[in-house]
Amino acid sequence: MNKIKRASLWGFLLVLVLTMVIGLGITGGLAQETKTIRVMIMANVPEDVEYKLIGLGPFLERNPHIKIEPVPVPSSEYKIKLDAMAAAGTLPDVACHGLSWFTPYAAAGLLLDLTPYVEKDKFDLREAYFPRALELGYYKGGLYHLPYGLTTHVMYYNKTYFKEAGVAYPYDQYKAGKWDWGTFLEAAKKLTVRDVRGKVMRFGYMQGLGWEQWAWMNGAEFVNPIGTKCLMNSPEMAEAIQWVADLALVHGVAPKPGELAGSVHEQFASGRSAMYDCIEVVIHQTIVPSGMDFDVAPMPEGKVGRTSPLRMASFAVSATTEHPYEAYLVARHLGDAEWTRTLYEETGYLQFPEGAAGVEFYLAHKKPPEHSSVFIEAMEDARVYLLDLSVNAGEIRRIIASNLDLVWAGKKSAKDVLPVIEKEVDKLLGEE
Amino acid sequence: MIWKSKLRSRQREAIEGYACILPWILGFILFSMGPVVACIVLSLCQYNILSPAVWIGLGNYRRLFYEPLFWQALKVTAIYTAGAIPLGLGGSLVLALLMNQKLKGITGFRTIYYLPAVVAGIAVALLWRWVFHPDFGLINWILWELFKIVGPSWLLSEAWVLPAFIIMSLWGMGGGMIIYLAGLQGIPITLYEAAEIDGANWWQKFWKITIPMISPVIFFNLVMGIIGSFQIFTQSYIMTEGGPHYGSLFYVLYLFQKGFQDYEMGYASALAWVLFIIILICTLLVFKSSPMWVYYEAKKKR
Repeated sequence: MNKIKRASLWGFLLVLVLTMVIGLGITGGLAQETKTIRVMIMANVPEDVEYKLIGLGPFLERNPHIKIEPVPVPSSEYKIKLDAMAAAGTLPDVACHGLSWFTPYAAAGLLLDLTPYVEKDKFDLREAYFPRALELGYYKGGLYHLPYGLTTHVMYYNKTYFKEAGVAYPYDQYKAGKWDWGTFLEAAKKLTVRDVRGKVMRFGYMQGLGWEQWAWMNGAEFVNPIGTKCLMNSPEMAEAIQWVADLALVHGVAPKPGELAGSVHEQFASGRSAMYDCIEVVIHQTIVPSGMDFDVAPMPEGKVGRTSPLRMASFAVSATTEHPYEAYLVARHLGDAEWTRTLYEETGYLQFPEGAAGVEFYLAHKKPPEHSSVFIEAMEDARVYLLDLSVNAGEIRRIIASNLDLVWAGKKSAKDVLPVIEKEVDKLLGEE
Repeated sequence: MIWKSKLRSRQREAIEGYACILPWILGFILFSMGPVVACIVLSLCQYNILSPAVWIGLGNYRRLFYEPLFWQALKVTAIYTAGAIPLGLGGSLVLALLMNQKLKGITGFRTIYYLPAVVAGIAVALLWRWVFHPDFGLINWILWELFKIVGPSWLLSEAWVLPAFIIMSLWGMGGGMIIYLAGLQGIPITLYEAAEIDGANWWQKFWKITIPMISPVIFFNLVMGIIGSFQIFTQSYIMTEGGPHYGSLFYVLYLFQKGFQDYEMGYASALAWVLFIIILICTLLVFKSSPMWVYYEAKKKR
């Protein structure tokens, strides 16, 4: 009897110990170590950080072992801070990058090639990103940048001014197949308002962020497809630049570039011009709050069709991250369709989709403007300003801008400055 | 034994002294001396921030001579300095003379005139962009309303952008005014009384008493003005980005563009050292000339 008791006791103890060991083993195996991912975010207001985290909510719920540590930096200091961190070897795991420094960072080996992680994740890049945006993420065959914050130019217009002037809306002209450079200029002239002294009180048109789209629409190119030779010294480029300059100098329907002090977005929102070509994000920031009755149309058709520049940023992973896969996951979820949907549901803010996966949701919810599909169509025609991918992008931009200052001021013709620009830009492209 | 304990006490005192200034010494070595030494070394390297530096000796300094934009930046800065310093020195002296009057409420005026000097550079730059607006700016409005003159394009014109910045430099006159005011109030009243007894007029009193007596203050303002105007940056960075057509490409803006936008930190370091040498030479010249025009009462007495 005692033997049975003793055996039962030993058996009970054995089961207890085994249960404890297995239990500890299982929980120990299952509980993954928390992985903190530092994400550097351009943040001018607290919402810039808050929105990123709100959108990531469902992803973080599914991945409780991933913790986000935001590193907010104001946009004015962002690049300097990122460069300093790069120099010190303390880059955050994930950071937002501007297009003009995509190449220098990838070329310096500071970023992680995401290709193996995309394969491991079985992530469909083609579905997630617009093809033109995705192309920009590659450097020498490796994927370093995941597109974020895509946008392109469309023509905004103040419907009230068009109604008052008796001019057909650009979108209606576009649908009727009549929206081209000629009808655009005609409309701009009719919509420009002058005071008794002839001073322009309201411009017909105002340029938002650059003039490159006019050159493309006229059949001009900036650089060859592999980015090694500047092609700006062409009759098409000269004609396009002169046409843009003459909007101010000859026709007086637009301000000279740089003439408008302060935010150009706000000046359109306050009624300083009837048309404005700019990116999508201004709707939420300035136009809707102004209460303006507005809509959008594609850019007016030029000699070779219509196009607009693709503007974007990216999220990239540092080559020195200790958690490469988790950092990649965070980078790819920032701005994806789920992130966009969550953010919209929680805050009412709708970000432009990064690819086909988000288009339907965007079109169903983006109102105003009435014809928000114009943004999606513009993305299909969007062009990439390849000079921005040069390692000397900043200097090239300055060379072009400073020489064109003379054209905008009417001191030289586009034909005069383009040979100078091409020579100087070629010199820099040759250094790469 | 006494000697020993004395030494110990001296040593203790020295240790305590060093311990007290240690935070400053550490701060100086880490945050001032360290960057200065690094800047010398980097100026001798090709360094793009993102990749390790490569030693190129005096390559960056040689390159300076062949860079047209280096000479343009130097020219723009020199013209600005030549225009802004006399205007600033003269303007703040006139203002200080006005503010030195014994009038009711003069303290309020002094405060008002000094206020602009404490406004942040970026805010000032944004404000002046509007002042210089060709169509709606205050200056062109005054020119048209009072004189029927169509004003220039100011910041949009290669020819007028530097005069615009020189005019704008007057905004900071309040700082110089306060220093002049302190100097003016230190002039013994007896000197003016004696001159009046001798029949001196206003101009004679100003030229023979006021100017010599405040010459050390003029000297100080001149040295600080030279250093400050060679380092002008924020205004052109915010208002014109060096344009139009490099018309406002100030030296420090060029240095910033090279270092932080074009990833040429080695070249930018060389630019920084050249700027240091230029400022040093200018300051030494002013110091060297000072015995000819700066009057020190204490020196005279000796």
